[in-house]
Amino acid sequence: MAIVERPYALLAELTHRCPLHCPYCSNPVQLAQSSELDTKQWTRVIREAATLGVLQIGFSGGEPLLRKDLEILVQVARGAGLYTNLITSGLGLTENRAEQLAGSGLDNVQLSFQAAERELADRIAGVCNAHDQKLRAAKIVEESGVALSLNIVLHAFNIDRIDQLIDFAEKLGATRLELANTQFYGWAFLNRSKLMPTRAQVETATQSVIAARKRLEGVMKIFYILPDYFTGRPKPCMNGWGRKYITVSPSGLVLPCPTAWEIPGLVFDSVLKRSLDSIWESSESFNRFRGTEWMPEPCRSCPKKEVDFGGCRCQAAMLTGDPSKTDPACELSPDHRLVRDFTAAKAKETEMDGIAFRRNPEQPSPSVKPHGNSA
Amino acid sequence: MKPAPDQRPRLTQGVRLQMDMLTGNPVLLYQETVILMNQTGYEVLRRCDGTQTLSEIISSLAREYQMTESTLFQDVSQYVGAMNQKGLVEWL
Repeated sequence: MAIVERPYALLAELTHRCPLHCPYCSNPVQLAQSSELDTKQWTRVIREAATLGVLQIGFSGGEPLLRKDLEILVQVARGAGLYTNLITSGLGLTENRAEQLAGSGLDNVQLSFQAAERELADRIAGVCNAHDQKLRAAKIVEESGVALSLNIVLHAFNIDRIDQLIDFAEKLGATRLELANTQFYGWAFLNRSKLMPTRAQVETATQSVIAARKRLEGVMKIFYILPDYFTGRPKPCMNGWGRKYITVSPSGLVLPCPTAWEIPGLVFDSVLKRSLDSIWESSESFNRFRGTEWMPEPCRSCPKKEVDFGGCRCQAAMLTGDPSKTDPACELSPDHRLVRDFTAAKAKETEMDGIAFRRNPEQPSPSVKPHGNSA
Repeated sequence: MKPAPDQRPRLTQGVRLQMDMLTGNPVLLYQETVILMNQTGYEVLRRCDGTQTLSEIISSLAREYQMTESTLFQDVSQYVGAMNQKGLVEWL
């Protein structure tokens, strides 16, 4: 039996509704219309998480600002001693709202941008005027006194403009910039062949980051992690399954990682039926890949098995059909060719034609035939 | 960079120092990060509130732990400098 540690962070996905349509979203492609937990239910979840040892909460979605009770939930979380982070598109943030959130004790706002230039940014977001609204949101956050960090997801259509992205973040006065290479789950997996950059693009971008980090030392911290498709090493996904993180979905399902619904056959418990601590400690889904007992070779005898934890279970499931296999991103995996052949064959993308933009649960599906994924 | 003796260090915006309810030990919290602190680090950082100069912080630590200020000076300014390099502490 694997030792159950305390969780440190809760990702509270308050809603799957979102004003943006980013094609790299990791929300499920087939979003069933389901009800969202109400204020009282979230309050209980947050307090149970704090008792369990959680110290950080990320309010996410979809767009968490669409929840009118966000301020109340931030206040509940702060009252329970949690560090509160709002992960937002910025759309819908007004001075009034920012002031209320600051007053509720919000610690940090993580604001997303899609590109440095208005036209490209709006095309990626699939919304007119999104970029201008985000610029306004950045200003509002700064004036509210809450710490601001920027997050930009990198993919084939913006990675060549990484120098402009870094300049843009610097000019906005950000002290923390996360340049996040797309991880291929949800809509991103559906759009994988379009969004994936080439190896040459990734290498050039990496050199830009190294140079910028040097130049901006003490001014802006740049977070950038090499994408696992190109490194030959798997990422230490969630720092180990059921080890540090809990995700609660809008309807109250408790997941070991935000995209664990990608794994066929895994059943998730609901906070409406069980307490969070009982789910954390003894649910089938959390215990399924806890520790190292479940590992196949080559993980089982690998000296790095407690460094990368066999990589990502979702990626193993999506690429091989079996979630208990070694993550194919690892060059030691017998399935590594699935990743290697894909990246080797990858040509540079120039046109966005054919990409599937994220839709909201309530919208009917027109053109694309989805087969599952989330951000 | 290390602070000068007359500068007033403080935690940067978005960085919070508090006690962990589960263990009673101090923790430093900022975006997506939890640092488990030892008592020494905690005693320094809890004084970094922007009101006390580095000299005042060192005097107060020297009194509390009955050490000489000159012994403490090197360690404390180095520690505060290292926290500054991580973007967690700034000074006025």
